[in-house]
Amino acid sequence: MGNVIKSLKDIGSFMKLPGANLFVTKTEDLFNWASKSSLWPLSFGLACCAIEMMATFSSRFDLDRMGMITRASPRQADLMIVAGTVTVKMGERIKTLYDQMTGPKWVIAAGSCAISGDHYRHIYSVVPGVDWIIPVDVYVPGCPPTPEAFIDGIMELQNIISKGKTNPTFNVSQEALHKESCNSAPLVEPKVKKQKILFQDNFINIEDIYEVSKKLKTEGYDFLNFITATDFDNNLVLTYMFTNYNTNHTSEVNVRLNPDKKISSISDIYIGAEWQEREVFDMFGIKFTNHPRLERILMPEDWVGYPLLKDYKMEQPSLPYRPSREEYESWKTKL
Amino acid sequence: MENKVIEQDYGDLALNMGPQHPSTHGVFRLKLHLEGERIKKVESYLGYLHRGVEKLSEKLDYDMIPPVLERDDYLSPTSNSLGFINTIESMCNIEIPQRASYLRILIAELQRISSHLVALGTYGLDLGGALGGGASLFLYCFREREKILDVLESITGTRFHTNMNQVGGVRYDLNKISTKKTHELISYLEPKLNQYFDVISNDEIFIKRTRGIGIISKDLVSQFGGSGPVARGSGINYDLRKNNAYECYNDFSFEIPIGKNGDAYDRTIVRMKETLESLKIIKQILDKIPDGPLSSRKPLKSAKLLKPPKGSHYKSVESPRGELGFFIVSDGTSMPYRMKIRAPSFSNLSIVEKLLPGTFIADAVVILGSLDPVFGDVDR
Repeated sequence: MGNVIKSLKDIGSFMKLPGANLFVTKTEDLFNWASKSSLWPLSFGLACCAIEMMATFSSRFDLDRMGMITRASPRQADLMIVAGTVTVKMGERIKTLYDQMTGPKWVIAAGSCAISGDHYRHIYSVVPGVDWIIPVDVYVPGCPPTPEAFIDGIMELQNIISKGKTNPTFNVSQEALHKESCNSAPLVEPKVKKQKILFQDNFINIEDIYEVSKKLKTEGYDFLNFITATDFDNNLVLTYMFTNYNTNHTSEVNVRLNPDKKISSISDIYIGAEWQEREVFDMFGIKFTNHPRLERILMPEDWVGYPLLKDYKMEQPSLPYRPSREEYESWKTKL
Repeated sequence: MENKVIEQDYGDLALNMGPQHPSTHGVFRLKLHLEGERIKKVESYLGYLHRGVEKLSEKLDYDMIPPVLERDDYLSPTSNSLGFINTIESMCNIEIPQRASYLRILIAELQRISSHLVALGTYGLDLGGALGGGASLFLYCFREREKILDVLESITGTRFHTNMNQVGGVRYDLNKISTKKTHELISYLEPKLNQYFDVISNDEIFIKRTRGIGIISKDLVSQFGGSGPVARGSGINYDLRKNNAYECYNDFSFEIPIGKNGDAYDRTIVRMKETLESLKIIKQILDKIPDGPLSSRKPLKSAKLLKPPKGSHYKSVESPRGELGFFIVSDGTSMPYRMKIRAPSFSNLSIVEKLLPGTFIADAVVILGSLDPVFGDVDR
């Protein structure tokens, strides 16, 4: 109670009247005082910074003492802490969540990924900073920010709220981004040096893959480590890796693909291959015949192009939230 | 008396869970098709944290990649860089000093404990709800985790993205203060972990909610490529620290806990027992650690000088989630031509689509939590 009275003294004054105590303040100040002392953040985390955010909420640092309780529903929350890398796929959801929150509402961008995209900023799937999507009030730097930095950021936000000011930073180029068409064709890497196939061992014919994996399965190679592909000059090479649990022996199988990029799926022998093959399809565009659900798995369903091909440019813009490199650089110089 | 049917058929209900749901342990979306309380069909959507690490690494020198990889599986960052660096070292035939190897394992095992503590703590939230009894388990686990992070901070200067490993050795050394702190940590953690183990394994509510839930048979695990505590919970004795010993795990005596039934209870108990085994390893490291240099490589003038020979190589390590492997294709330059990360969470999580149909909706979070996925690792 003592603390409450102390903090109330900042915004008004107590008067003693005969038989009664009186507190005089502006309603605006009182509302600001109330909202700064009971910030309810939306509980959602994106990446590593979310772990530090959880640490800040838990035992040692204990944000409850600042009146903060996480809410799972955006409709009950008034603070969004964006902790982690914002991807193009998640960007839409973050926008929706932000729109679902009732005002007045605030946003903290925690960690260098949420601020600027950090070392992922030129990657095709990453939004270079959450302020390309929603307005941000406070930036907390760090990779990830320590709990002390988190608390500092929250106190900074409380300062802003108690002054009745909001100072959101929202990216100015937002308008320009909408003008271009959304599904632009993938950018092509101009000087791409594709190598000839770099390894020669364990190659089999493309027709044999189903039979070979069936044989490996009967030989005790129960464990499918991974399926992946590599983009070489003229050829895509698929690599399968199997392990025998009992003998600890791994067996590598390589397949040279034809230009039609088609190969038989092995997902009915190894069920785990289903997701692995979807990932290879998503990243390389290799079509697996007889696959139960050959859809994109990591990228959005309407994505154009296959990111891990060598001539796919890393800086691929994706509108409305991911700017092209030129737009990003020109925005940076304006700051 | 006649039995009257009072339930009305409301047909198929599709319930969306995620990607910001607190119980999905990150950004994961499940579309559950329900029939009453039972799940009929599951569609899962991932990729909400796809950061293109594999594409990015094709533009980075080998020495620049480990810090980026540490952001991948953010609950046990060291095992990421350890796996990558082990692959590079066996490609280039680089031997590392024994002291460096001991220090690598020290950090990796400390982080294994902290990772399992986060898994257990958040599992408590899944089972009990934030305002129910689960929150106390969460708070206890995070309290112990902070102690571990203090030790990591005293050794490496950062709380968990330690950046300890580099090709040829390690960056930081143990000093008197950090050795003392590690000793203190062991004597503090041991009774605490034993206490939680006793409480969890005898707690009636915990047993009722997890035993017999989400049973994965031995056969199913191997078909899905499951590894780590998920495979060991189902009775598969497969741990790369023993089966394919990397670094100097052969110098230490420890056991691999194995479950029997493969249910959510077994997976949690395997994780808890593993933390105790990790403590054993840390104790032995502190007793046995030899003196010597930290790195076998001379300080480099340029990161461009590390050029593995042409060809492909695959090597894997045991992360807290399972087999974390790196398949690297080198074209003889200072950057990888292609790097594939074999993520344990990705394979472990793929079992979800098979496990959930037929169970109750309340068990969905129990099953998902017991697989302990980390979405930085799933989506990469």
